[in-house]
Order: sequence, then C-alpha cells, then structure tokens
Amino acid sequence: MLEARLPQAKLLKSLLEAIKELVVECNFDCNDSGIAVQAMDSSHVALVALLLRADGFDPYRCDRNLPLGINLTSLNKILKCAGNEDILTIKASDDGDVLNLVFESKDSDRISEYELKLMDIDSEHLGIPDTQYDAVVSMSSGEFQRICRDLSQISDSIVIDVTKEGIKFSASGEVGNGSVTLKQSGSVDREDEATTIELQQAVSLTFSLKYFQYFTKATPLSSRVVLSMSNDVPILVEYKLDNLGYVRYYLAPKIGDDA
Amino acid sequence: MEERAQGVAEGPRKKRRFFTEEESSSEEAQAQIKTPKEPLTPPDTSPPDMATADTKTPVKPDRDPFWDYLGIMLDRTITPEFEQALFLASGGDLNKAVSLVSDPKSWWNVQKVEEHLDKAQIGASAQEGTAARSETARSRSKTPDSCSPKLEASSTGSQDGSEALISKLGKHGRAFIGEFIAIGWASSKSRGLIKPGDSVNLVRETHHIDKKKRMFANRPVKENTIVRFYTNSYSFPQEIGRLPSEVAQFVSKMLDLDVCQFDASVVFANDVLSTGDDVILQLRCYLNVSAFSSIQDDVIPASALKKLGLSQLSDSKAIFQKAAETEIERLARERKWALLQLFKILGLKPVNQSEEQQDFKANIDTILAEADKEDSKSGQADEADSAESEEKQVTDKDLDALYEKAQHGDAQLPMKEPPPTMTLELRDYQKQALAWMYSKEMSLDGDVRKSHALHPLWDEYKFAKEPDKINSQELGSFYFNPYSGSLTVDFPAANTQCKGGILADEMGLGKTIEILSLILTNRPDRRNLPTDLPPRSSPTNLIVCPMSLLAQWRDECIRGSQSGLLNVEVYYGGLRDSNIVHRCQRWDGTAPDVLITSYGTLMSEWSSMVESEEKGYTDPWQQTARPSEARKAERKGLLGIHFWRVVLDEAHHIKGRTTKTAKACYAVEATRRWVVTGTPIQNKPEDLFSLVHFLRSEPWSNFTFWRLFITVPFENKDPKAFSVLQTVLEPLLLRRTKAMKDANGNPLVPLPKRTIDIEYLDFSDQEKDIYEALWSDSKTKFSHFCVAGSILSNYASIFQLLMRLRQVCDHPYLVLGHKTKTNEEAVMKDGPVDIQELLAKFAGEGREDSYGANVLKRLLQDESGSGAEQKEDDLSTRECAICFENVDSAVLMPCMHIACRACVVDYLQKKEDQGEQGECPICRHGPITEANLIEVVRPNGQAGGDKDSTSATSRLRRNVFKSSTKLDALIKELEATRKTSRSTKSVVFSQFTSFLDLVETALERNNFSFVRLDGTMSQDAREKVLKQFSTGNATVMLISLRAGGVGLNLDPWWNYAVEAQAIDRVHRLGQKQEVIVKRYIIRGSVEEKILAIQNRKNALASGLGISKDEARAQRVEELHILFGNKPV
Repeated sequence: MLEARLPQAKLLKSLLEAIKELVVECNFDCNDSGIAVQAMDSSHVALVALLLRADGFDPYRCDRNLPLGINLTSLNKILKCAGNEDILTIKASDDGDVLNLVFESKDSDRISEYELKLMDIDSEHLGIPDTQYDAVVSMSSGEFQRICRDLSQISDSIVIDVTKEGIKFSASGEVGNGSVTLKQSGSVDREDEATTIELQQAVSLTFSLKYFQYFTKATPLSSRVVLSMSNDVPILVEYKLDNLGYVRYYLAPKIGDDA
Repeated sequence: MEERAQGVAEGPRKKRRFFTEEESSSEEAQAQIKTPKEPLTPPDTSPPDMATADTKTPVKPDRDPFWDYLGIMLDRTITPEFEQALFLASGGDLNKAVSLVSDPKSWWNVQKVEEHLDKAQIGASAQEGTAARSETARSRSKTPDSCSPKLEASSTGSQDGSEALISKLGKHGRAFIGEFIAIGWASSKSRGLIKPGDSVNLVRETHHIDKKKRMFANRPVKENTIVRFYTNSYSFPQEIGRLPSEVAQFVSKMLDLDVCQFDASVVFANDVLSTGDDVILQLRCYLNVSAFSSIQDDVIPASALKKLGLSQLSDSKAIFQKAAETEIERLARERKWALLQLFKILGLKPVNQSEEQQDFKANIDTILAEADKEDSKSGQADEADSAESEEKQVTDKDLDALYEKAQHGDAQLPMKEPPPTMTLELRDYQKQALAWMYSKEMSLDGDVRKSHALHPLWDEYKFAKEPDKINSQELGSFYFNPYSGSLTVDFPAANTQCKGGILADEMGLGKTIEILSLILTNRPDRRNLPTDLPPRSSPTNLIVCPMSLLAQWRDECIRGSQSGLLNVEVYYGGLRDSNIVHRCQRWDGTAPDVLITSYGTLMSEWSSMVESEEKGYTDPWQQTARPSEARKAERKGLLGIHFWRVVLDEAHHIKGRTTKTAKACYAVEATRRWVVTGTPIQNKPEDLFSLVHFLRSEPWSNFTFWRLFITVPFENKDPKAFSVLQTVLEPLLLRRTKAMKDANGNPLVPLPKRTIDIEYLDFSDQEKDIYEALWSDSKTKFSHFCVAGSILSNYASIFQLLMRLRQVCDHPYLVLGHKTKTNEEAVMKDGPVDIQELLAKFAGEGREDSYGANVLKRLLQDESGSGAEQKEDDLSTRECAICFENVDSAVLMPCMHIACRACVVDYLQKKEDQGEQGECPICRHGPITEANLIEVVRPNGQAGGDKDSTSATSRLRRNVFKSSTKLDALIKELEATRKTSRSTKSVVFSQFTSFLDLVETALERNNFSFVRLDGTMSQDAREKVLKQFSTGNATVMLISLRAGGVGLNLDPWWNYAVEAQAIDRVHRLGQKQEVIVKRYIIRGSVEEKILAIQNRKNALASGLGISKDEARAQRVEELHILFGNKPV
C-alpha cells in the first residue's frame, strides 16, 4: 500500500520532464524511506537515478517495498491534467495493477482522479560504485543549461576540461569551434551564481551533447548542478532537490577518435 | 496534528449515535427517524422539536415554511438533524428535497436510511445519553431570551476573568460553544471505514511548509483552506474525505490560528464510499482557552504567530504602502471573519443586547457588508498596481475642512485658571485648552454607573453546555468583538473609553505649557486615593518626546512650576534607572512626578520586551493564554508601569502604525493618554489612525474598522470619508491656529511680521557653462527614460539628476566635488598662510633682501606694529600693475607682486584661453595658476578689533576657494545685515551639507562668527549649538534642512511643507523680532521651475479629487516641466 501526497503537483511534473526524454518505461521502487528510480536509456549509454525521500511528502505511507512499473509517456499524459498548484496524491495497493492519482484544487471542491495501468518491467538494479572523483564542479544549473544549448550549435560533442583555474567547455565542428570558460568564483553574496571546483587532478573528457541536453531538462528542479568527473569514468551530473532527494545522471565519456 | 493529539490525550470519546431505533415502536413509529434528542415524542405533537430545529438551523436564512410540513408530506417525522442535512443537500429547494427523499437510488431515500440504521443497532446507553441531550437542547433553545444579566458577577470578576477560566479548564482547556452539521465529501473510495456515530479527526492540509524542505522555495505556495477528516485511529488514521469548501474556509482559519477545536463525528455515511459521496458530519466546536485575550491585547497571540513564522517585530509592509494591511492585521481580519461565520452557523446569538445597541450594530453591519463587497471587488485590482501606487494624500484645504468641525465653537470654550503652583502666566486660549483637557480627563471619572454597562462594540455570548457531559461546569459568558475579532472573558466595560485626546494647536501656541498646566491641575490626590487603581499603577506622568526636546521639557517643567513641587526626571540613555518600575509605583510622594523619555528609549525597551516574550513561546509548555497580568508584572522598564498619564510630544513620530516606535507607544499603559502635535495628519488619514489607536479611542482604534470607514472610502474618493473623519476628530481634537481669533475677535497670538522675499540671481558665465552641460546631459537621460516609457520606474535616478542640477545651482563644486577636492589637496589647502613661514622660506633660500621678502616684512610690520591706519595706507595706496588703480582686494603672486584680484584672474583666464601658461604680469615669473595666488585679507574695517590682532597670521590666505553666485549673494546679504544691526541673527538653510561646508569657508573668509547644526550631531552638541546661537556672539547659524526640521534659504526643496516648516521654526525662534525670509533662486534654472511647481501644488486642491492614475500622470507632467519639455 502506497500513499503519498505532494502539496504541489508541479514537483512531480518537473521530475517527469527531467527523465522522460531518456527513459520510456521504468520501475518506481517505493519503500518506507521514499521513492527511487533507476533506469538506463534505450541505448544503454546514460543512467538516471532519482530519489525522493519520504520527508518530501506529507503524508507518506508505504508499508513494504513496492515496485511500480510505469510507462512515463502515459504518466506524463495524466500529469498534464493536473494544475501546477494542485495537491497531488498517489496511491497504489499492494496487489493492484493500477496507480491512482488524485489532483485536488486548493480553493474549490474539485477533485480529479486518474488511474494509470501499471506494467511489469524487468530491470536489473545496477550497483553504482561509490567513486572518488578527481574533479567536482558545482555551478549554476541555468548556466550549465545555457552552455549546453550554445555549444550544441557548433557540434554534437562537448569537451570538458577542468583545471585549477576553472572549467572549460568546448566544441568544434564544421562551422568552426567555440568554448565557454568559467572561472572559479567565490562570490559570497550570490551563492546561486558561484562556480566552485574541487580538484584532485585535472581532467579532460568528451561527451555527447545530446545527452547533456536531456539532462538539463532537470534545470527547473534546482538552481545548482554538480558535475563530478574522473578521466575515463562516467560523469555524474547531479541536481539536488534541496532536502528532498536528487536526480542523478551518469554518462560514459566518448573515447578515442570518435570524440 | 493538533486535533489528533487532542484526541489521544482525551482517549477515545464516547461514540455518539444519531439515528436510533425506537424499541417500543408501532408500525408507524418504525418508519420514523429519531434523534436522541426527541426519543419519545409522538410524531404529530412535536412543537418543541421544531423549536429546537429553529435555533439549531441558522443556515436557513429564509426557510420555506413548507419545510415544516415535509414530515407530513412524507408521512414521517423529520428530525432536525436530518432536516438540516437535507436542507443543505437540496440547497433549500423543497422540490429537490422531496425528490431526493423519494428517489430510491439516493441514499437520502428514507427506506434506505432505515435499513442502514437497522444494521447499526445501538445499545442501551443511547437512552441515557439522549435524555441528557434533549434537556440541554431545550435549555439552549431558551438561551436567547433567558438573559438574566449576570453583570455583577462578571464585572466584579472581570480582572481575573481569564485566570478563572484557565483555572477551570486548565491551560490547554477548551470551552464548548455549540455544534453544527456539515456535509463533507469523500476524497477516495473506501469501504466500511466509518459508520454513523464514529468520531473522525479533522486535519488541516499542510501549507506552511518549512522553506528548506520545500521545492521551488523561492516561489510562494498558494495558501489552501483544505480541511480533511480521518478515521479516529491512533496508529493508523485513514483519510476519508474533506469538508466542503464553504465550511472549510472558516474551519481552516480557526485551526490555523488555534482559536477553535472541533470534535467531529459521522452522522451519516454510506458503507461504501466512492469519491465525491456525501458524508454528513456533526462538528462540535470548542474555543481554546488561548484564544481569549484581555481586552487591550493584540488579537493574535504571539504563540500563534510563531506557528506561522511571524513576529510583531518584523511585521511591516513595504514602507511605501502604509495604508495596506500588514500580515498580522490580515490574520486578525481573517480570524474575525471566520469567527463570525462560525457563530452564524452555530446560531449563536449575543445575549443581553439593548435595542439601542442592536440598532447601532445593524447600522454598522450594513456598512460593513457594503465595504466588504467593495473590498473584495477592488482587492485584486489593488494588488496589481499597489506596488507603484502612491497613497492618497490629504491636501491643506482638506485638512482645514477637517479641522473646521473640531474647531467649531472652540472660541466659546470655558476657561480654567491654572493652580497657583503654576508659575507661568497662561494666555486666554491656553486656559481654554486646560479647561478642555481637564474635562476630558474628568468627565468619565465620576461616571461609575457606566462601568457596569457592556461596551457598545462587544457582544456577550454564553458558553453552551456540552450535551452529553452532564456534570460539565457552568462557564458563564464570554465576549466577542465582531469588529476586531477579539474574544475575551473579561467584562469589557463601557468606560474603557479613552481619557485624553489630541492637542493639535499650531506650532508656537505653547502646547508644552498647556500640558504642564494640565499636569499641575489634575494631580493624583495622595490623601484621597481612588480605590479602583489598576495594577502596577503609578502617580507618574510619562512624557515621550524626540531626543532633541528632552532638555527643553525638563527645563519647562521646572521653570513653569513652583520650585520643588515637581520631581522631574529624564529617563534616557545612561540616565536610565533600573529600579524605575518600583520607584514609580510608590504613592507616598517619592515617585517622580514627571518622567521624560525619548521615542528611541521607549522603542528599544519594547523591542527587548517583545523579543524576550516571544522567546518564551518557544517552550511549548508556556503557551498559556497570552500575557496575563502575571506576565505583564514581569515586564521591565517603562512598559511595566501603569502611568497616571502619558503624553506623546511631536506625536507625528508614530504616524506609521507598523513602525516599532509606534508599536512601543501603543504598549504603554496609562489611564490618561494625550498626544501633542502640530500636524496630526501629515499626508494621509492613516497618520491620524495611529494617534487614535494610541489613545485607544474605541471603535476607531481598530484598524479593520478604520480601514472600512475611512481608508477605503477615502481611496475611492468617497466624500463620506471626510464626514467620518470629522466625526472622529470632533470629540478628540483641540486645534487652534495662529490665525484664529478669540471670542473678542483679537488674534490668539500677536506675532511679529514675517516677510518672504524671493531673490532671483543670474549665473556667472562659467557657472552657466557647467550648468548647461549638466542640464543637457540630464535632459538626454530623461528623454531616454521618456522614450522607454520607464519614467516612473526610474524615479529614483531621475530624482538624482534633479538633485545634481540643484546642487550646481548652489555651487559647481558640489557636483564636481570629487575632482576639485583631489586637486585642492594636491596643491595646498585653502586657508590662512603664515607670513612668518613664508618669510622664513625666503630667508632659507638666502634671498633675505629680495623684493618678496621686503613685501612680506612690510606686511608683518604693518600688523604687529602700527595697526590699522598705516596698513590701510600701505596696501590700498599701492597701485595695481594691470589696471593702474589702487589695489582692490589684493593678491600676492608667488613672486610677491601685488595686483587686484579681479585683474589677475582675468589676466590668467586670458592666458589660458590663448593656450598659454599663466605668469606674473610684472616679472613674467611663471607658471602661475589661480591656486597659487595668496590673498591679502583686509581686516574687517573698524569691526576687526580684537579678533584680528589675535590671529595676525590669517591675513594671507591661499586662494583655492572659489565662490559662486549664490554664495556671493549670501555673503553680500549677510554683510549688509551686519552693517545695519550687529545683533541681528541669521539662519542659513540648505539641504546639502556639503554646500554648508562651502558656506562655512566663505563665512570664515569674511569673518563671520557662526555655528552649525546638522544631522550628524548628537543631542548634547545640538543643545550647545542652539544655546551658543541664542546667547553667544554667533550671528549666523547654518542648518541642514532635514536636521533642523526647524531665514535664508538656499535651494528650493521639492516638498514645500518641509521648507515651510523650517521657515516657521525660525519664525518661532525669533518670536520677538520681525523675520525676513529670503530664498535665493537662480534665474532660468531648474530651481525656478521647482518653485513654480511648489506654487502650483500649494494652489491646487488636489487630493480627494484625483485618482491614482491622474496623480501619476501629474507626476510625470511635473517631471516634463522640470526637464523643460513643457512650459509651466
């Protein structure tokens, strides 16, 4: 039995926006500590891990582990019917095959109920090793989104170089090349804008920009994004949802000449 | 959560059943639906039943009389509960109700209900409970007419009413007031979770989520009013449904603000519920003990504020919209509204209302209803443009009209002689003021009868008896103020009306003296103390005034009374006495008679008090009912004393009701409350509200009330606002102006003449250049804003442009300031140069007998030796090398050649124009700039005397300083004044302190002795300066417009009122002599235009006739005029 309520439907809508481009269907694993999702994209290059802690809901009840197989396209259709400010309640029974979504308006006696058919999805849970990254860059998520959008005009891959001076994103393609450099800045008064770099060792990695653009769909969820990188290891792009949880994306770097 | 906790604490409550099966029923009776209330009433003889129904169903505004026959029509007896539920479900439509009942599919179908009831059989306990209930129901139905006034009991026990309630109910106790039926609806499918009689818990949907724990933390979450109900299970409560929004709207407020608790139980619900199904609930309402306050306290207790993350200290809206409600005021209004709704639905009616009172209230209610409508209509529009909206201002004309009524008949006021202890002679109008004030204080003193009458704004209600608790205590009455939303159990007696008023005589009429005479006239009589003194009371008069007037008050008090009679103390800064609370409460004559303090002191005491009291509420066990007497007794300092009288001097300091200073003043306890100000309304009616609130003059001291009757109509340009304001002012205000005539037709105060001259000056060419450059630059910027259409949003920067233009008119240095300053420092300071030093320099270079040294020596000789005549002779007989005339204001070039200042400057200028370096016209020694010139200061004629000889070395000075048109004019004027009369004093105003710096230099150059007063000075320093000016030999005082607040006026200031006040102060300062006011205006500059606008503003009767948009348009137009796009 799962019952979870969010004061604003917007949160779930935004979360879905953040992953539905990458993943079509996946299991929502619900247990007493919260709701977690882990899924690979169809080409098995990127991995999404999402966690919503129980604290974020009020109330939250889940007696035992309950995997909910959900088609995200269908869920998205239903969530379109919810107003951003609606109170959203999701419910599922232990043995049922539907997910019950209730949207309540805050100032009128209006209640809408939808049921989403659940599906059985086979998925293996990947253990993600706890990696010590060589470079951890925390920056404004809006800035990151913009950089990805800008450089996608030039090329479909992006090179990230992190040195102790700063982080440099560059792309080169047929029309020419371009780069964006952010210096490490510790401006105290504008915390949201600052770029901070923790560096063990300089790194230089190449990624597919297309995936980065999928990742940046999570920008509305958090003002900050953390990029954790080591050479030849998948990059971790993390959007923290304040105290409620996180959305993490992993993407393997392009290796060799195809970069 | 509160609700759940309550349920747990009390343990499972007794289940209540509403639909019981009649055991001894005939076939006909079996079809009846019975309530426990009327267990044995036969169907056809049930008038009491109907009576109960009537009192119990307040939601029926105009009930179709056919409802009474519903039972007959259906051939059933309808119980009130069922009927009410049906009434609600059918929306009052009888046809619909009938079809509902007969529709076999509807659960309203009577047959079905009965079947259902069959299943839910109830045990024998029902019988017992029902008997008790029917009894209470009957007794309650009588309440409205059984108004045996319990006045003696309640009024004698009024002081400790809330304590008594707490002792009966406990700190967390609650008092039952009634019950009502609500039709909730299921929010999800469920089966068998609830059955009739089950109790359910009401739970508020969370909405005040911790910011840190919220997504999108920077965006506000829309507030909700959702109230859900859950099964009454401790371990596993399950949600059933929601209250309907019209009920939830007020129930949610009650829960949020900790006013009420509700015990809900199911009256009827289907066994299987699907979303949207109706669930009929019965809600019992209990008022929390903490909802009751003492009469004067704030409506919302600090504990409730804490819950919502608010504080008294931080509660203020943006400074620009003082008429808007603050957060706390909004809460208070919502609470009031919710309580009214609740009482309405409970059918609670005030008891013991006289007819008069009812009429009065009905009157108010209709106005309130109208205003509410308007309020909600305009509400959204308001919010949209409130950000830029300037509040309406009151114009002078309006003010005059306002005061007119209050002044009516003032001339005929009786006079009262001050007691012989007053050593100052009172003028006739001052005696009238004394008589008026004395009567205001005394009129209510004698009237003891009134203290037993209920305050007209309060309603008395009875606590109800809880139906099935037979041995519950009798709780008596409580009182509700439907205008503020306050609840109290203390008896609000009618004489809590204010003793005091607003003394608003115009400046200079001697308000201080008037107050002093009152203090001396109505003193506490030690031999014959009143018996009903409030707790912590003191014989002390508290006077709160601005810091700068502390000493004046003290001196006046001592000067005006027989020596030794008044014990006057100043309570300020380091002079604060920590033991003041106890000392003031002594009635043996050792307490200070007059305690003078400043607004700042009071404010800081209040802040620390609020802080510590709010801190107290972090401890959940301290959430008692509010600052009770006990708590107040712990208060330290001024706020722990109940004064004999409190007087706020210059009370417009508290015109912003949201400021801490104002709140601190409200918190002062005193029996007699006075405010003294020359301008009770400065800009808008809210200014006055703050004063009235301080006076505690009911009902106007309530902001909701004020807003409805005055602010809102005023903003809507409703002329009614004015008549209401007049009514408010009439009994409270005494205002005389200097222009008024006494009963014999003589002016109140004969004052010397005052003339205002405007002197137009022309720029010098150089200044004009600078001005023009800045002007065209500003104009470009302004047109840029115009084109972008962002004039109003860039108001501040435009204002800055204007300010710079005005500064240029004063002196170009003010704008070029930063450049010249560094220049100056690089070269040399302006100021006196020591001749000896120069001489020494020459000597050091071994040119002792050079020309330069000779000149210097001569100069030195002149002054040390032979004195004035010889020196005159020496310097003025010398010929200028350029114009060949006698040297006029001589300057020395570095080569020590002497020439006229004007000639040299001209010469240097010419050189510069030719692109050459300046040089000495005599010896071609160069390069020379103006800054290198040394001026020979001609000792000031015969006036010089002692001063010159003491500072011989100041006769030479560097010539860095440059005068300006205005400065020259000023100096000329001052010189002229000095020549005509040496004792005449002058006051120079400017808004810019930096300009005052320049004026200082100029005055120094011309040997004026002067003093200066500006905002940076402390109280002591200001006092010293004023003293020096009035008694010492200083003839000129420099005042920055804002600091003096209190001539010669150097730049026109935007707001004429500020200027006018400044001028008036001077007028008062020199009360004995004629005052000439000179304002210097540069012709053809921005100043002229400002002046024109000032005049227009004065002449125009703006205000009530002008809407927001019009006012805005006017402002834009003013700017256009200033920047020359339009003619004046």
